Amino acid sequence: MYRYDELDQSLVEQRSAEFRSQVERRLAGKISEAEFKPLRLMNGLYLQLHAYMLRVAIPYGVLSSKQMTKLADIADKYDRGYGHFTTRQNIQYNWPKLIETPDILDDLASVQMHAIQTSGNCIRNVTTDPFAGVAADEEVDPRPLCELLRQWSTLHPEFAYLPRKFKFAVTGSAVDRAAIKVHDIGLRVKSGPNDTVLTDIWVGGGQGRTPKIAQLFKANLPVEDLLPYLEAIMRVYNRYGRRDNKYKARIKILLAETGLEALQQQVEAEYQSIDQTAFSYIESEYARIAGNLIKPEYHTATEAPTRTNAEFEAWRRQNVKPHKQSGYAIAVVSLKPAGGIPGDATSIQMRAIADIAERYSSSELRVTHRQNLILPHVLESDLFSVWELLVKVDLAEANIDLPSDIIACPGLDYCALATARSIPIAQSVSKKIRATELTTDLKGVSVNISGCINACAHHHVANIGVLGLNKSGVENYQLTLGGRNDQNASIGQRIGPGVAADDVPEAIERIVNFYVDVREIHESLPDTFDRVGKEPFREAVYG
Amino acid sequence: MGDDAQIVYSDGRIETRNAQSTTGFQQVDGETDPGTLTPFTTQSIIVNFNSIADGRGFSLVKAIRQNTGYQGAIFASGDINPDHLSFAFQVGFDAVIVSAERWQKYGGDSWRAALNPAVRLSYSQTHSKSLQSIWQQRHRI
Ligand code: SF4
Repeated sequence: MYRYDELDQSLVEQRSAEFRSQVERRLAGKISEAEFKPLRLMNGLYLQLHAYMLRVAIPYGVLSSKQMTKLADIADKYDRGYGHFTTRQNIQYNWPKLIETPDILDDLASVQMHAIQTSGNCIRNVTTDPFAGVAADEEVDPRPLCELLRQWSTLHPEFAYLPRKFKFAVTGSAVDRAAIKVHDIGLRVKSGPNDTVLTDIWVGGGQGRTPKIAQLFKANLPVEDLLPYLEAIMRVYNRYGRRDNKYKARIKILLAETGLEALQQQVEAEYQSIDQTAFSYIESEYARIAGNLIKPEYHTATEAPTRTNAEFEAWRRQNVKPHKQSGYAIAVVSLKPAGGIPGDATSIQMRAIADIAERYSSSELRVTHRQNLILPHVLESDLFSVWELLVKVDLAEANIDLPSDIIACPGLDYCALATARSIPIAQSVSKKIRATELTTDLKGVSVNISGCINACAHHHVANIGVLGLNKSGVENYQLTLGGRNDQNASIGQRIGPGVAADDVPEAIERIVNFYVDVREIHESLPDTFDRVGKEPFREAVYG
Repeated sequence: MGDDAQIVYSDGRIETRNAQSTTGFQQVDGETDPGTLTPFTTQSIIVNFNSIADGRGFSLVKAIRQNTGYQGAIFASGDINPDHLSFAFQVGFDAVIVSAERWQKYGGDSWRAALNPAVRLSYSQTHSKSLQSIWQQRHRI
């Protein structure tokens, strides 16, 4: 992982001091809530249904044991002993007191963390492949670019008041685990000739009420030219992006209304006008960051794994992924116990996993887009010991990439924008589907549940999407099928009228059973859906 | 003070001016498309921020200098509060014109404090004397 130097550290401490003075002015009544709002939103502090919510950045999802322990301490000291990991690879605290938020930020700064730009109409925390740097199929490690983007976008004065929030995702593999095609800008890093790094820029993906798949905007741009090019895109978006309607303010709408070619021309013209000398250090900065990544020391396994049992084998089959270093494995830790709250972890669990990472994973952890955690560098011969420790803190659910590995947003239990609950739905769905997936092969079937059209749980690009709405005061859940968030990203289709909260688990069960009945060998749910069409699925659910 | 505006300069000076003394300055809206800029004839330009929720004025200052070759002073005015002062100087505004009403609303103390910002570092290049560029420092350019 990237290690801060003194300058990175000072900036985070200074930002924390600045926020402290803003909070003090608010508490002293010198500024109104209306004036405070844009200031707190620049720093991840939301006013939710019941309390403030603080969103803490976990840049590109990477964190150390020490940082995870600090997150646990914060959960105990300032919150109710738990935290919620999000699809943006961040963590949210649901119950902090305003007066204590500056102290939380100081505590975060002490371990090289912050809440900068986790909200507001600015460039948000950059996300990436949770297997970055360790995936067996990776072409280029995306982390140096992610860190470069973090630095570039941090407190960038030109892009702090955009028409709307702006999200970047980066991947370095042909198999896209970062969902780059449903972000405002998705970047695919590739290796070019003579050890160069090239990037493909995908623009205009997004979710919300107008879901869009990104379009290839620029191919094979050398990484050292990327920042001025992105600056050009951001300026053109800032200039022409709509400000009259917040639902039409994202770059996906600008792209749709302007047309790909015209927008490319505008960006090219802006790019030509940018003073390139201001970016002459990018190449060396990229190299400096890449050189500053703490790389684990890999050892050769001293002993062959001996201990095993059926439960462990089930966990290994489901939760352990291939590592690029032979003898090592990536262990995915599920935060989705059947009937539990997706993405929630208690301080006890956070400390436990921090300890496990320290002993068995070079003190490193990851947060995934699917709201799980990762131990990225585990010796295969240590897997059984790791599993035993996970079992002790209820973190050994063997359901990664199965339907019960549900993504759910906070919904009506916390979120001020929600139209329906999502957490209780996720709980009842996972309880029911878990029984089925234990006896039937449902690998790869994804279920995402959003509590409103803002689609924070990315339901549009789930194989099975659930959207909670409010129909004359009653919660109603729309079902979409066939979405994908990988390199073949596609938007799911509605299959019929919404169903009542209590009927969601049964409806999903029917979808899954029908899929199992008609699928061809190795056929994914979206592929089956594409092949047989909407009608038979509709029939299966409502018939 | 009455109706007098305060001009807060990037070098820390604060000057009181009566409201009329900025007549003759050329006014430009922060939302102006840089492609439509024509050469300026005055020695002072004011970029007006109608709403701080719209940050285009922070890009415009660069475009004014680059596209038109303008070398005079550029002021920011409008919906700027003490928390935006640092950004304004970072992108190259020479000063911010603060109306009497705004000066009073936030208090002279807050405006003066903002000249000495808590955040003294930025990654990219900066025109502000109270900010240091981390990238420039790392790569000594
Ligand atoms: S999808 Fe809606 S309810 Fe869920 S977190 Fe986002 S805004 Fe809130």
